[in-house]
Amino acid sequence: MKTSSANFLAPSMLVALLLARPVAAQQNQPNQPGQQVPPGNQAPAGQTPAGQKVQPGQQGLQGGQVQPTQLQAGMGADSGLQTAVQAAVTNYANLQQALAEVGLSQADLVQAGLLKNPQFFFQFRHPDRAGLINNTEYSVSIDLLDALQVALRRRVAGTALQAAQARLQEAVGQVIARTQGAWYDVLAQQQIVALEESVLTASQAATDLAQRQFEAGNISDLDYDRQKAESDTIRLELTQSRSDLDIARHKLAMLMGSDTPTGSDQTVPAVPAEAWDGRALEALALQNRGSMVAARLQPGVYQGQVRLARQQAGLGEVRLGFDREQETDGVTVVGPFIQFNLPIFNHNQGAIQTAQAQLQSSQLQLMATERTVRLEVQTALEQVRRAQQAAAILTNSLLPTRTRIVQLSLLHYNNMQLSVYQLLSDRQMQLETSKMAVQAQRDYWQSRSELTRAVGGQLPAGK
Amino acid sequence: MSNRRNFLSHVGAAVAGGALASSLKPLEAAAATHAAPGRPVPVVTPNGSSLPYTMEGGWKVFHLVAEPVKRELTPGFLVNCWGYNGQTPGPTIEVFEGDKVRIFVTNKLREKTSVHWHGVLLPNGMDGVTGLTQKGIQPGQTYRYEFVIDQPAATLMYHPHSDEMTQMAMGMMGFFIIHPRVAYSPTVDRDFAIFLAEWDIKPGTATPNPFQMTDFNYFTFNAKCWPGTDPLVVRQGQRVRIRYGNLTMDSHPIHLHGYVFHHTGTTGGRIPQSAWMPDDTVNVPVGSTRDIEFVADRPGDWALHCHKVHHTMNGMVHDLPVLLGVKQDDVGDTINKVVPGYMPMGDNGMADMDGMDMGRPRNTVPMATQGPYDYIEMGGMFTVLKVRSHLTSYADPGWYQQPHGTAATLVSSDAEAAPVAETFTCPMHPDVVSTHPGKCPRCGMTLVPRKH
Repeated sequence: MKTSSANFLAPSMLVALLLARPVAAQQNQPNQPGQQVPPGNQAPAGQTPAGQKVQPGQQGLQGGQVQPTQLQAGMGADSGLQTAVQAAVTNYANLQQALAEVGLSQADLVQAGLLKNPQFFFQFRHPDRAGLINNTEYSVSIDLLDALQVALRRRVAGTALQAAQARLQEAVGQVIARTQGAWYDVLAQQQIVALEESVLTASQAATDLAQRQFEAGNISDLDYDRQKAESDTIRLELTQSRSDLDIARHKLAMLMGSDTPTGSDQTVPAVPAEAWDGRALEALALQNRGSMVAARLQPGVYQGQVRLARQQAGLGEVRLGFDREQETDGVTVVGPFIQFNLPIFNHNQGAIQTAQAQLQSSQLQLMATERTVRLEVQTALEQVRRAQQAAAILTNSLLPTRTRIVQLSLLHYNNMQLSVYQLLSDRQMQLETSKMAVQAQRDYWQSRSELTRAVGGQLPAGK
Repeated sequence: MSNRRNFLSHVGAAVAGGALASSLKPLEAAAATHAAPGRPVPVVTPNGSSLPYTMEGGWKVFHLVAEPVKRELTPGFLVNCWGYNGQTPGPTIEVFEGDKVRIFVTNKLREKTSVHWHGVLLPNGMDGVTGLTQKGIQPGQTYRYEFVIDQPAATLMYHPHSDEMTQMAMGMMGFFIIHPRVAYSPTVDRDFAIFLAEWDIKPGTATPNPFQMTDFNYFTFNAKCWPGTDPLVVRQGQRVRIRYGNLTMDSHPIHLHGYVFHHTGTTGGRIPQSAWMPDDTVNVPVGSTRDIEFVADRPGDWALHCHKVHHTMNGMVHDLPVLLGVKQDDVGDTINKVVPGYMPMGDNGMADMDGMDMGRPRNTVPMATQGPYDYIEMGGMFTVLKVRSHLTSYADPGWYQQPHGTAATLVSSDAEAAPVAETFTCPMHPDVVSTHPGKCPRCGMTLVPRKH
C-alpha cells in the first residue's frame, strides 16, 4: 500500500473541509468524557468513524453536504471580505501546524490498520561427520496479539484523526476571525486617515491664518506658536495613522499570502441592531467548537490506549507459527509453535500508567476547555454589546449633535458672534467624532467576528 | 387709608377714565409750536409711558406692580426682563413740587423686592432699602409708600433696593420726575426722558446675565436698541429738554449731532442758568440723571447716541480675532472646503457684512439696518432727533429730505485721482508737514511739495 509523501491538504481539499459541517454534527453521538466509542461508530479499516474512506493521498474529507458555514457566516454579500477570507484559509502558512497534525493522524490511521508482516525463519546446518544430512529448519509465524489489536488500534487512530480534524477546524476558525478582523481594520483605518486629513486641513488653515495675523502685527508670537503646536500635533497623529494603515494592509496581505499590501474602497458597514442570548450561544459553542469536539474525543483516544497497554500486559509479541525441521538423521519434525514473554517482572505497568495519566489529563482538559469556551463566548458577546452601544450613541446622538453645532457655529460666525478659530475647532470636533464612530463600527465587526469564532463558526441571526 | 378693594376700584376708574395731567402716550401736536406758558409740558418717555394716578383726599395715588416682563428690545429680539406694570423701564412717575404722593407697590416676582425713590427727600422709613429701612416686600405682598414732595423740581429715579444686582440687571427701574409748580423759563415745548440700560444677553438666548459686571453686549434707550428706538420728533423752533437716567455699570457720554445744548439739571435739581454748561455731549454718571436743553432750530435727522462706540452695536462680541490687514482669499478657499458656507471677513473692517442675509442665530438682530442712503451700522444706544418745519403730529415723519446742495456728494471713485490739498515737507524730516511753503523749523531747509 502506497502512502502519499505529501501528508498535507491541498488547498482545494481544505476549502471543501471548511465548507463541511462541523465534526461533531457528523457523529451520531458526541463523545463524552470517558465514553467508549460506540460500536456503531467503529469504522472498518481505512475508514474514519464517519464512514468516509480514507485513501492514502486523499486526506481530510469529512463528507457531508456542502453548507454555507464558516466562510459565509457574518460576511453577507461583502465579496471583498469573502475573497480575503478565502485567500487566508487557503494560505498554507496560516494552518501549518494544524495541517501537519492532521497529516500525522492520517498516517497513524493507515498504520493502525496494517498487520505486522509474518516472520519467516530458515536455518541450515552442516553436520561435522559423514553419513549425516544437513539440518534445515524453517518456520513461518505471525504476531497474534497484533492481529487481535488491529480493530482497537484503528478505532483509537480514527478517533485521534477526528480530534486532529476538529483542532484544524478550530485553527481555521481563528484564521477566519483574524482575517475578518484585519479586513475591518484596513477599512476603518482608511476612513480614519481620510478624516484626520480633513482635521489637518482645518487646523493648518487656522495656523495659516494665525501666521498672517502675526505678520500683520495682530497677534503675538506666543499665540501664533500655540496655534502652530496644535496643527503640528495633528500632523503627527496623521503620520502615525497612515503608518497604522500601512501596517494593517501588510498584515492582511500576510494573512492572505500576498506580497502586495491589500486595500479596498469599501467603508466599514453600519452596525445592525441585533442581540443574542448568551446561554444559547454557549450551548452552540459547546456543541460546535472544534476545540470542544477535540477535547471530547481525546479521552476516547487515551481510553483505547489504556486498553491496548493492558492487552500487552508484558507479553511482548505473541508469535504463533508453524515450524518444520529436517534433522541430520533425515527425520522431519513439523508442528506449530507459540512464543511470548512471560509477564513476571514487567506487566507493561509503565505504559498503562502513562495512558491512564493521559486519560485523566484529557478529562481535566475537557473541563478546562469547556470553561474557556464559555468564557470566550461571554467575553466576545460583551464586547459586541459594548461596541453596539458605543456605535448607537455616536451615530444616533453625538455625531448629529456635532453636525448641528457646526451649522450653528457657521450661523454665529456669519453674524460676527464667533471667531473663525472657534468655527474650525467645532468642525475638527465633528471630524473627531466621526472618527470615533468609525472606530466603534470597526470594534463591532471585529468583536462580531470573534463571537462567530467563539460559537464555532455559525452565529445565528440576532434578534 | 384706602383698603385694597377701594384702591383697586380707583385704579380701574383711572385707567378707564383715560389720561389726566400725566399722559399715557405722547401728545398729538396741535397747531401750536410752543407750550402754553406757566404749566410744564408732560414728559414723553419714548417707547414707554407715564404712570396714571388717582386723587384720594388730596393724595396722588399711584400703583406699581413689580413683575416679569417680556420686552422686544428691537424687532425680532425678545428678552425676558423684570419691570413694572408690564414694561421696562417702569412707567414714568410725574409729580409736582408739594404733591402728597402715595404709591402702592405690589410684588409679583418670585423673590422679595422694595422700591427706593432715588434722589427723593423723604422720611427714612420710606427710603425703600430692604433690611435697613423696611422689610422686603415678599411675593404677593403690597406695600404703601407715602411722602410729600418737599424739594425743588428734578429728574429722579426709582429702582429696587433688594437683590439689586439681579433686579436692576433684569430691567427694574423708572423715572420719578418732579415738575415745578410753575414751568421754568425759558419754557420747554418738548420734554423727553430716556433711561439708559446695559444688558448681557448671549447670542441665541433670551435672559440677561445678572452676574455680568463689565462685558455687556446690548445697550438701550428705554430698553430699546436701534432700530427699535422711537425717534424724538420735534417741530423746528421748539425748545427741547432731554432727561437721561443712568442705573447701569458704566457712565455714558450721550452725544447729540447738529446742536450745542446746555446742561440744565442733575439729580440735585435745576442748575442755575448762570452755570449752564454748553456742550454737545453730556456724560451721564452711574446713579445720576442729567437734563439738557436746546432749541431745535436746525431741521434734519440728527443722530443721538452714546459715544462709547461699542454701546452703539447690537450683540457685540469682544473676543473675535483681529483680522484687519490680513489677506484671507486663499486660506478662505481652504476653509470653505472644510466648512462649506464659510467666507472670510474682517480684513477690511466690519462693514463687509452689510446687507448680507446669511441667516442669524435665533433671537438675534442684524448688525446694520438700511437707512435712506446706505446701511446704518448702528445699534444699541442710538436714536434720531427728527426736527421738521412742518408737522401734523409727533408720529415718525419718515426720513429727512435734504435740500439740494446741502448733502455730501460723490466726486470721484478713483482714490488715486481724487483731488488732495497740497502739503509741504522737509527732505530731512519727513514728519514735518506744512500746508504752505517755507522753512523746516528744525533744520531750516526749504520745504518741498509732499508726494501723495
